[in-house]
Amino acid sequence: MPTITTTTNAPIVTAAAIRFVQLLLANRATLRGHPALINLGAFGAGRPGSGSLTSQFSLFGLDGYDTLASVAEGAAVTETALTMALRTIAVARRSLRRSLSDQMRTVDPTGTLNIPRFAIDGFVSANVTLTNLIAAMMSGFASSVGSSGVDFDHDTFLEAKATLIEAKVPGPYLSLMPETHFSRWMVDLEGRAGVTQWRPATAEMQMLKGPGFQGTYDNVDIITAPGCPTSGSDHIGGMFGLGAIGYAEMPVEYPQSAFILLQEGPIAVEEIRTGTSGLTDTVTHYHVGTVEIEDARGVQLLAA
Amino acid sequence: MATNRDSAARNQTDGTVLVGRKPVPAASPTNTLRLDPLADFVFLHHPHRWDVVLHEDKALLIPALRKFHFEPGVSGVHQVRATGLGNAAPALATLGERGWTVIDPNMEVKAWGKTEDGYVREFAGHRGPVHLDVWTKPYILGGQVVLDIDDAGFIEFRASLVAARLVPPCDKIVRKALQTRMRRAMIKRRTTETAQSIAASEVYEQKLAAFTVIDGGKTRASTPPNSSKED
Repeated sequence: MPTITTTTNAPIVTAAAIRFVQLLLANRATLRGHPALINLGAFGAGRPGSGSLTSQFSLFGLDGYDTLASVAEGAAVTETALTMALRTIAVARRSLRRSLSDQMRTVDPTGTLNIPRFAIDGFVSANVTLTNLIAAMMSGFASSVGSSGVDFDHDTFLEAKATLIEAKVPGPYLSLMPETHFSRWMVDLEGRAGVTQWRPATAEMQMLKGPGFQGTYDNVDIITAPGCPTSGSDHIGGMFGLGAIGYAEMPVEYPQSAFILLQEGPIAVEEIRTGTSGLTDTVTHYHVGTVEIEDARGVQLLAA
Repeated sequence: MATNRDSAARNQTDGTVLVGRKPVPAASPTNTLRLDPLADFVFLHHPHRWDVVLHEDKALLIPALRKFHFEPGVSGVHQVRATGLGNAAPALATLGERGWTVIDPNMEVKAWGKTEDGYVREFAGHRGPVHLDVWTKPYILGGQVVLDIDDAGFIEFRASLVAARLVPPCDKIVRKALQTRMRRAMIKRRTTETAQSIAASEVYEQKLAAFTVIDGGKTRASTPPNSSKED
């Protein structure tokens, strides 16, 4: 565990530091609470005292899944079996530890290397972790649009939307894609004629917003996400509707002796002081799991 | 107060020659990958998932593989309490019920012109192990990690899965649907004048013209469905 000390951060103490700090490049998109995702925690997954880190839930073919049969007068109707499926979601522990020496904290001229700032860092990083876990699932959908070696373009987007519509997937739709998909789609949209050129969403996609939420096209939220998978030289994204993906977060109960600096639902940042070493650690705790609920509600986007 | 050096000397008898060790350089970008950790994985295949790729003047119909990482908490992968690593056995059993086939990670494969024992390789990353497939080769360029990919090797591996009957040949319904989708994609893009669409349309056209099916170790040309009824 590299501790942040005056020696490991030599440039800060050997040259005159100015009060400017810039965050290093990273995609900091967060998906927690997005309406296209189902928070299974609200239904008891990851509930404290449940006796397990794993929860199970059901899918039923009710409300129009089976239509009524035509039956002759006086004849007994045969039973239609209820179609059902079971899904399992497992919650796992995720942590991030930062360690800061008193010396470094004292000489830091930026005011950034302090414990409350690390608490915010832990909270944001936990959010990005969930985005990563969900983005990694985009290669899991059995149906796929696009083709190996072909750049992502507007037709690939339309094909994905059409696939979900044909599969009767309800909205809202969410599309997670690697930056390469989005940049090539953006270039393709720029040259489009016909109806596409007049859509306000076409213009919206061209507006630079940085990583993460890129806007909404045809009511599909477009998010460039960290952690999208690859396949050889190809990149993989996905588009899905409500009920495709769920997640569960387990709120952990900490002992009274734990000094919890920040707690936002299931995310907690703890401060640990080791006076003998002159070190203060922050540890972010997050227990989370994700699951593909119904495969047909999502489609993989495959492009170069 | 006794220092470590004092106590070390006290534990030795007079005349003992102390032996030093060659200094080990600390981890640096040259010996650890500055990539995010990636858990161990297996390739999975689903009967619906096929792709057509251009390879040596042919358009091969090959299995599109899913890389299933044993990431704790994702898709039902349990976290092993003792190690923190993922136990994917229950998740893989469920996926098996849903039609996915596991491709044995210990099988002999060819990558970069060499025979490799298994298709997963573990690298030391700056925040934990990074598991990559053997067709992805990380190397350092200007202090940054660059990934080189043996695309031809990966295509040949996927084609070999059908030839070796580890993956059943593409079902004719799936093949027909794929050809229809590609034909639609080609025609739709022909009517769009962006450079990207024209390029994509040409790739689809090449793929459809040289569509080759791998069936039981043999390759045969496939006749695309009649285009006159499309679109």
